Amino acid sequence: MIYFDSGATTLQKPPAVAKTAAYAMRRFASPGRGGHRPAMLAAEGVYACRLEAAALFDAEPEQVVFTMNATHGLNVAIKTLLKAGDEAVISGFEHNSVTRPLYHLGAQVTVAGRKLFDPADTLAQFDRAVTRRTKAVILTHVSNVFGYVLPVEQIAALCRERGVPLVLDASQSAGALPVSLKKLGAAFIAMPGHKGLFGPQGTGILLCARQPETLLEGGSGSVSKNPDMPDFLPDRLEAGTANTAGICGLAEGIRFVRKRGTERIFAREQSLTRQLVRELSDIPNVRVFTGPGQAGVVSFLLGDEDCEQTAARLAEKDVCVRAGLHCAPLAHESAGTLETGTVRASFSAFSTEREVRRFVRLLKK
Amino acid sequence: MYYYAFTFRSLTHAQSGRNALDRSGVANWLVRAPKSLSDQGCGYLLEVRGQDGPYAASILRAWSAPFAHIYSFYPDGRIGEAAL
Repeated sequence: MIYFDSGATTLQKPPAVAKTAAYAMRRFASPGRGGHRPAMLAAEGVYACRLEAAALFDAEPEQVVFTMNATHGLNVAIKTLLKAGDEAVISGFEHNSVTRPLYHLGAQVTVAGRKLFDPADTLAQFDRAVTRRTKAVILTHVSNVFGYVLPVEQIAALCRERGVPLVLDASQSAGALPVSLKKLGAAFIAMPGHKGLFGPQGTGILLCARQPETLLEGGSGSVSKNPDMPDFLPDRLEAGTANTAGICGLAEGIRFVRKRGTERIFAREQSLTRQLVRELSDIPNVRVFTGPGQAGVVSFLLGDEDCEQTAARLAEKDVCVRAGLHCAPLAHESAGTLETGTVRASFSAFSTEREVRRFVRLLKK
Repeated sequence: MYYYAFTFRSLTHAQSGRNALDRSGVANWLVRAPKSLSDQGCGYLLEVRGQDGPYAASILRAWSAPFAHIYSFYPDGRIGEAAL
């Protein structure tokens, strides 16, 4: 099998992830819900993950909130900062996990920066769009469709200058690019645990630099007499029993990333991207979406072939890619591929050059 | 032998406090708070030996660890709120 769908979820994980998650399922009870040994062991497992995440993302352990996925975290962030009629500025490459909560809220949305692989234009568009009326900027770090790395640091600086809270969607960058809560000065950073951080599915992280509104209310294992959720983090956002096994597995995934280093992981993904783009370009009538600084995500179309047909053909050969709109119609609209969709190949730290060569060979058949 | 207990509303905060004490070489024990000491329900204690109490308090304050109260536990079973 060739698995090039890491943009959706990474399949190959460091072995310690499954091992630790399985161990936690056997030995750990509910964290923060008792003083007995299995409960306290669970609490230590969960806290160890907070420490790993805090170290990787330059945050305090209390600012690390465990969520179900990035969508969960983005919903908390967006619904904390905005209400109906408020103005939000987003990039032209946002996922439905950003656009749908905004639509549901009835926010007024300005889309800034729709040119692919043109960070100067993206920055100029944000410079124009972010005004005193802007209540929040919501921005993806890397397009999940095209691997375009947005000029996040510069846009974050612009937001800081103008006092506008920034929400960063680090779904495709967490574990591959440096992400610092402190340096960016973001209000919130949301990410999945199961992509570049190599945790199990059902895990996610929301880094909080400001007090969030709750999306769920319930037991937190703290200040139980209070009818409202605690006013302190992380308890405020962690209602209900935690995904302890998943979080313990995620800790191992983050450990792997920290040990290997995001710089090395990103360099490898970029190298595979360049190789794939080069080899794809030899195929007649292929349209490859590529540009400078591209991350480990490559979209392409093969002549007039329906993208789903290409993906199905590859799936028959046990090659895993994703086709269609990738839950990001706005990104496809920006790139002019809303009608066709694209085929997307996306890498992880476990993808290899050999797989890329074989992928292209199979694609040509 | 008497000891001090710092009360925390959040388990995570107690764990961060515990780590700060560990780094400073202060022996400590993280336990569930007795109901009588968790005025809002479901709290945690960081216990330290009597002689370490003032130093532990200074470390926790330096780390901005948000403990709510400090209690003294005396050998005869009495418990009293302490000011360190």
